[in-house]
Order: sequence, then C-alpha cells, then structure tokens
Amino acid sequence: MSEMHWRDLKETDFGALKSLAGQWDAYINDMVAQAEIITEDVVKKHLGTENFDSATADDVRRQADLLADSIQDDLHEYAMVKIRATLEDAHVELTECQAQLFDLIEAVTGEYRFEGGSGDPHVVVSDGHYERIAALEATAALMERAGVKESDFASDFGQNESRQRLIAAAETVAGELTEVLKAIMTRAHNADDDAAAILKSIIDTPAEQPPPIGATYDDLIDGYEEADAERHAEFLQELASGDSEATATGVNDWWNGLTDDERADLIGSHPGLIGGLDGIPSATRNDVNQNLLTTEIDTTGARISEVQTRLDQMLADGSSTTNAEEYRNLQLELGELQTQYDNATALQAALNAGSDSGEPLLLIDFDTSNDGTAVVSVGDPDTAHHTAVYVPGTTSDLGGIGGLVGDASTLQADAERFGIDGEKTAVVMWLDYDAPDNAVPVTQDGPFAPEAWRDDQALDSRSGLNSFLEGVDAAHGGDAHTTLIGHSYGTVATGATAAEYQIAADQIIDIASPGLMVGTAEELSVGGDDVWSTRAEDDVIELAVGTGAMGADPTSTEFGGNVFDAEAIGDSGTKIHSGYLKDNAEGDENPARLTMAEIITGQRG
Amino acid sequence: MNRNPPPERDFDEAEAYPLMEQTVLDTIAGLPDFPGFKSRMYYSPEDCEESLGEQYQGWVSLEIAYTFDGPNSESDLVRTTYTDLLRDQWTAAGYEVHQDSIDASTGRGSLEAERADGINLWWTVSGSVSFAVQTGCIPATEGFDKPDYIPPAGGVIPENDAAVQNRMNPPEDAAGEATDPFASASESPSDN
Repeated sequence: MSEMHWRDLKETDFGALKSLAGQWDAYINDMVAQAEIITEDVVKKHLGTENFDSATADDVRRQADLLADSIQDDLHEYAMVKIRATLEDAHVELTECQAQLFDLIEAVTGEYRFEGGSGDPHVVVSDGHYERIAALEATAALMERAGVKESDFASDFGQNESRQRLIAAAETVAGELTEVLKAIMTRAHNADDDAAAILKSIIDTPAEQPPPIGATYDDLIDGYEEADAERHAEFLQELASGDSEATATGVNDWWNGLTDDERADLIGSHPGLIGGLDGIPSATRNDVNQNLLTTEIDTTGARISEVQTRLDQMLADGSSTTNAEEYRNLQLELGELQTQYDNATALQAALNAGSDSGEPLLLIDFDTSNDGTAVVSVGDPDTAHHTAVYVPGTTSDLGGIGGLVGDASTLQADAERFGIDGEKTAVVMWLDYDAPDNAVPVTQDGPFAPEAWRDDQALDSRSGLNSFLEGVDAAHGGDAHTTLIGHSYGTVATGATAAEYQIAADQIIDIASPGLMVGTAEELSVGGDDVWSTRAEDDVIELAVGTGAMGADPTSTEFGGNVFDAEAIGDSGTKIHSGYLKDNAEGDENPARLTMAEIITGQRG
Repeated sequence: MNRNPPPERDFDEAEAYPLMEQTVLDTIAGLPDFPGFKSRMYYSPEDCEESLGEQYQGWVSLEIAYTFDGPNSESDLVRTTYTDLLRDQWTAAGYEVHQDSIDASTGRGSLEAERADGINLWWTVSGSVSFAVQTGCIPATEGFDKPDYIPPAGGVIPENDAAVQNRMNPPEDAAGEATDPFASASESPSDN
C-alpha cells in the first residue's frame, strides 16, 4: 500500500518518470538493434556454416539465436510493457493528481489547511479563518452557505448566532474538501501501487533465459522452446479473447519481436487468430486469410454435398417424416452452409477480379457467416505512401462485395492516376461491422423502423474501426498518412468513431452523409480543418439529413468542415446516392472523383 | 438528375476498346515532342443500369486512362503547352468542350470534350497529368468478357501496363508490345 503523503504528491517532480521512460525507449531501440546484429551479422555471417561447420558450431548458432530471441521477448514484455509503459502511465496519472491537488490548494489557501498522514489526509479550518469569522469578516460565499446576512450583525445575539452558523458552515466545507483530498490521494496511491506491483513482478517472475551450452543442454533446450512457444500462444489467445489490454500497436511490437520460426509456428497453429488480428502486417494477414478462404470454400462445398445427399436419402426413404427433427436440423444447416458458401465464393470472385491499377488485392479479414464481413485492400497499406480506409453504408454485405471492392478499386486507381508519380496509395474497403440492411421505412408488409434510422450499428463499429486504423498506422511504422472515408451510413460509423477516439487518421471524407454524430467538424478527433464533405443535389439522403437524427448536416456552413462538389448522377434520389464514383450517360465522370483523389494523396488542405 | 433515354451509339462494348485506343493514338499524334506515357489502366466496366436506372439495362460505360511520369507531369510542355493545344484542337475539331476547369494560376484542373460519336476525352492536370477516354453508356456485347490484347499507346512498358494484368486477355507474345511513341508524326525530343 502506497504511503505517499500529500506533501510528496505536491513537491515531487514527476517529469522524472517521463524522462526515465524516454531513456528506456532509447535503450529498447538500441537493444533491438543489438539483437538484430546477433542474428543477422554474428550468426548468419561471422558464425556462418562457411566459417564454422560442426555440431558444436550448430549448437552455438542456435544458442545465439535463442539469446537474441530472448532479448527481443524481454525487451517487449519487460522493458517495453512492464517498465516503459508503466513509467509513462504512472507519469500521466500522478501528474494529473498533482494538478488536481494544486487546484485544491489554490481554492483553500488562507481559509483551510491540510493535516494528517498518508493514511488519513484531511482538511481543517485554518486559525486565521476562525479569527476572521470571530471578527465577522467572512467571505460572501461562506455567508451565503451559512445563510447569514450583514443585517444579522446588528445585534449581539445576531452576531453570536452568525458566528456559530459561519463556523458550522466552514467546518462542513472542510469536510467536503477532505473528501476531495482523499479522492485525489486515493487515485495517487492506486497509481503508485499499480506501478510498484508491475515493477515488482519483474523481480518476482524474471524472464527465462535459454539453457547454457553444456552437459544438460540437450535435456533442457526442448522444454525451453516449448515453454516459449506456449507463452506466445497464450498471449495470442488473450488477444483474441479480449482479455489482453494490448492495443494494435502492442500487437505489432510483439509480432515484430518474434523470430521467423515463431511466426510460422503461430500461423500454423492459430491461422484464424492471426488473420483477424489488427497490428499484424497486412501481407501476412492476406496470406493467412487467402488460405483460410480457399479451405472454407472447399470444406463448406463438401459439407453441402453431404447434407444434400442425406436430405435426398431421407426424402426418398421416408425418414424425413419419421425423423422429422433431424430432417429439419439438416435443412437449417444446409441453409447456413449455403449462405456461408455463397458469401465465400462472392468474396473469392471479387478477389479474382483484380484491381484497375494492377495493385494486388489483400484479404485482411473476413467472416462468411450471416451477412458476412470483409476487409479488402487494394494495394498494401503497410508500404503505401497514402492509405484510405473506406467504410461503406446501408445494405453492404458479402453478397455485394464485388461492387464494394470495385468502389475501392476506383478510388485507388484515381489516387494513383491523379497523385504524385512514385507515391503509392492503398485503399482499404472496411466492412467489418454489421451494416444496416434497410433504410426505407415501408415494405409490402407495411411500415417499420429501418435499421439505418438507428445509430446502434454505427456505435458498435467504433472499437473495431479504431483498432483497425491503429493497426494500419502501427504496421506502417507509426507514420501512415491515412484518410478515413465513409459513404452514407458508413459516415455515421466513421463520425462516431472519430468522436469517441483519437483515431489514427489524418483526415476524414464523408460522402452522402446523414450526419457524423456530432454538431461540428471540430468535435471529430482529426480536427475541423481536415474534414471533407460532399452531397449531390437530390440525393435521397437529404431526407435523413433533415431529421438531424445522426447529427448536424456536414455540408452546412455551421458544421465548419470543408465542402466539395459532386454531380447528381442517376435517375432517382437512390441512384444519385450511389453515384459518387460513377459516370453519367455521356461518360462525364463525377467531379468528386478527382477531388477525393487529391485529398487522399495529400494535395488538398 | 439524368432521366434521358439511352443515346444513339454507333459501336458496342467489344468495338469500343480498339476505338478508344485509336483515339489515344490520334490525340498524341497532335502533340509535338510527345515524351511518352508512363502507365495505362482500364477501369472495370460500369453497369449503366446500376448507375443510371433501368432504362439502361444491357448498357455499360468504359473508361481507359494513360498517365505521364513525374518529370513530364511537372514539365511546362505537358502541363501547359499540351493543355492549351488540346483545348484549341478539340475546339477546332468541333468537339463540345463541356468542361474547362483549368485554373489560370495553378494550371490544375480538367479539360473535357465530347466527340460527335459520344466518346468523351478527359485531360487532367493534377499531381500527375493524365488522359482518359470514356465511352459513356454503350450497348454491352453479349458474351463479351474482356478485350483481346491491344498494345498500349505512347510507349508504356509492360510492367506499367495495369490494363493487361486484369482487364484484357493477355497478349499472345507474353512479353507484350508497346507502340513506339515516336513512330507518329510527332517530333522526337532527341532531335532537339
């Protein structure tokens, strides 16, 4: 339990924690470089088989590899997470506590004073304050609090009565201030305790080192490697289950710290987890997911045949009636399998179609169940100079994945064509949320409330979208130039995310938006100057904008962002709503295409 | 909002690609000291019914684009001289110049003209300078998937020819074949 006294909190320079975290950061970078030297220069070159070729030399090379691996693991788990991050977190918490304490001290100076030790801090009325009350020189605030007026001082009785009430009020205030002081100190103690516990755990559970070469080496090495692999698999499971607090940046750090063999082992044993994990390099996720998709098409297709054959048999021999429950369950399974198969083959067809610019299509994530989700990138966002993450809107699902990837392909081709020669652009189609299925409030069965009229699906998308953007940035080395693009309901998702999180994106483009869940562009974490909005005349979305249900009209002057032109292409409000990347009948392109390409490639703003 | 019936067109989807490529050749033939394009791409055909409404059922819209490399995109010859020349040539040819958003101070923007046969020419001066040819809506060709290989105009080398990767049948000669950008009446820059 922390014994930090309020005087310690007041007088300590917590900037030292931040400086220390910075020094650890430099140390980590140096040590990562050293570990790479061991692997790349020492093992592969100086100790290479062309120079040393023997069983002992093999052991020495393996030992050196393991040592370098161990150093990198320790750098991540101990130096980066347990030490540097702990120091940074403690600095933030304790600095905030100190600022709160300073505010409290400023508020009470002259009237109250702090007393008590670290376990019982409290605020009392100062002697000077008692003396001023005795002299009836109380502040207006205290008199109001005590219900005392100047006119009450006219008589001796009134003066005595007033003094008692003023003292009681001052002591009540002291009690209230004590609660504030205790809350500040409790927060500071918690930060102190948390940091101490994490740092102590380094001593309690030191990092395991590879066994030394010697008589027991052969007995110990297999166990060491198995334990190491288990540790990584456990971490992966924690990430997938949501038990880990690691962010996409943490995932990227961890992944970069693994050896090629460790990565290959994890991909082999947990492909589904690796394929869906933000922070893992896009090319790796693509390789894993392409294999998973092929396997899923094969296995689902085979199971469909099995189930269909069984259903046919049951129908032929009459058991569909005598064993109706099994028959019904098989029919249900067949329906689900068919949906899954249709989604998977639609996704495969979209990938096979390729891109307009010839850039590869990367399958960064997918799920073929129900409506299906997918994240497909045109080009590699990890290496591109510019990346756009495009969030589609209502009715988007895997059944229409061809059109969605086609939109991303057009955006990407335009960016390559209108951008600076030599600067690559990747456009990611991010459909990793449950987009609304409908927006029109009437069906043949009568009126109903469409999903697109509610904000819950946009709100549910926030965490995943924020994590994906962070993963893009992390996999790009922390310096990605990223534009978040939303269309229609996709803008509600992008706006809600940018309002909730400090997103890892530089700018936002909203196309045909019903609103971004905010009143002004400035409420979005990219800042108002980097929000770009467009809406064509007669777009059906104008009806939704008019309700204000999803926030202010982003194309209005009051909203405060940038607005650019789009032509109304299509013969109805619904067609116009989907016409922002289209040509009109005469072949004239929508001018929004050029503007968006220039924004994405950093030529606007 | 576009509610017009489909326009009369003299060619369909399969016939359009050679026509568009010839349009590119004709255009660069009128550009002196033509330095060559860097890249070519074909956009995926657009379903006009999906874009414009059911009166366009069975119609598609095509777009191909060529782009200059960085140094040429930055040159006065391409950015300014060619832009002015094309404006003059298209006007003189009787094309309908329906967009001229080239900014007088920055030189950036688009110049577009439509020919009598409905082909739209789109010259854009942006980070790079590009030239696109668009068909507008034309009848789709039944059973047509993608065009047979057509060599790129303007000296585009195979590795910069995105069109050949996904949007046209591969050439019989796998190495591809680029049209000599200086085989036209244009003067070669090396002659200067």
